[in-house]
Amino acid sequence: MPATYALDRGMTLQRTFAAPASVVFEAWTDPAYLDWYFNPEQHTDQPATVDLRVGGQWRQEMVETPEKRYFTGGVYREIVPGKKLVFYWGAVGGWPELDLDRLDESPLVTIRLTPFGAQTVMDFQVQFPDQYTPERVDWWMNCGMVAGWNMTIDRLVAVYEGARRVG
Amino acid sequence: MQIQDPLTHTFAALADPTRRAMLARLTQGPATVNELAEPFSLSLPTVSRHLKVLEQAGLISKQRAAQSRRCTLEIAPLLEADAWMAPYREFFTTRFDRLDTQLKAIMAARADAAKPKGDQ
Repeated sequence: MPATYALDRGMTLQRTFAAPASVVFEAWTDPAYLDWYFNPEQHTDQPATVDLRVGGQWRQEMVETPEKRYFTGGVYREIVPGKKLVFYWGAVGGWPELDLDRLDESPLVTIRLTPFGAQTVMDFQVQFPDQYTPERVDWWMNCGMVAGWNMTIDRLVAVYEGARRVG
Repeated sequence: MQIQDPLTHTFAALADPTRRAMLARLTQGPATVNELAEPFSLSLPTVSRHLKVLEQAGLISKQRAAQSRRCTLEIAPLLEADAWMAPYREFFTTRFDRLDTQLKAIMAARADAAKPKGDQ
């Protein structure tokens, strides 16, 4: 059964970047620039690979700790250079686990880029297939992301503590 | 049998653009069924059906005030759905902070490369 997204379950984030849309698009699709996507405290010797065509894959190693590493990325569904990028989120044998024969069981990510003067507004949307129960989404998010979230909380605590010291 | 948990109810109710518009209207304050129907070219029975879905999901409540029935937004299920999404939002928000840094580095490198390389 093909996935539907009628429940409109997911999230939308909007950010404005001080760069032209073509450069934001490059940062998403050029392996030379994709470092921003993985955890910065760790290093990988596996360069990101991008096959930028519909059905092509983007694969990139995430390193949370020296012991916990996995591939992530996506399979492209729609590519409009400088304007729009749509991909199924995940990696074969990675996280989120992605099955090339059942792509529509993966969360769908849509990125839209709109020029705003010299800046670019990025609308970022993640949609979960309607077939997912909330428990299932929780499960697959948690199994890959707990360490990442903890790192995020660490950073927040650091910022909070820093602000307290200044204040 | 499918067990319908509250979150699934909430998201199902939010899936329809008309219902979302009705909720958006109710964020401004309570409204009667007629007031809610006004912006849409929908029959009253259709509007009532949408309101029933919202009411069953706990997203609105109806009160009888004078002769008219007024609908009020109930925020609790929305807060619950929002809390459920928060970790995912956080995950990408921190990534986009780094994308911002990356883009600044790219732009700075290109501005540098475009500068004339000294005299002669």
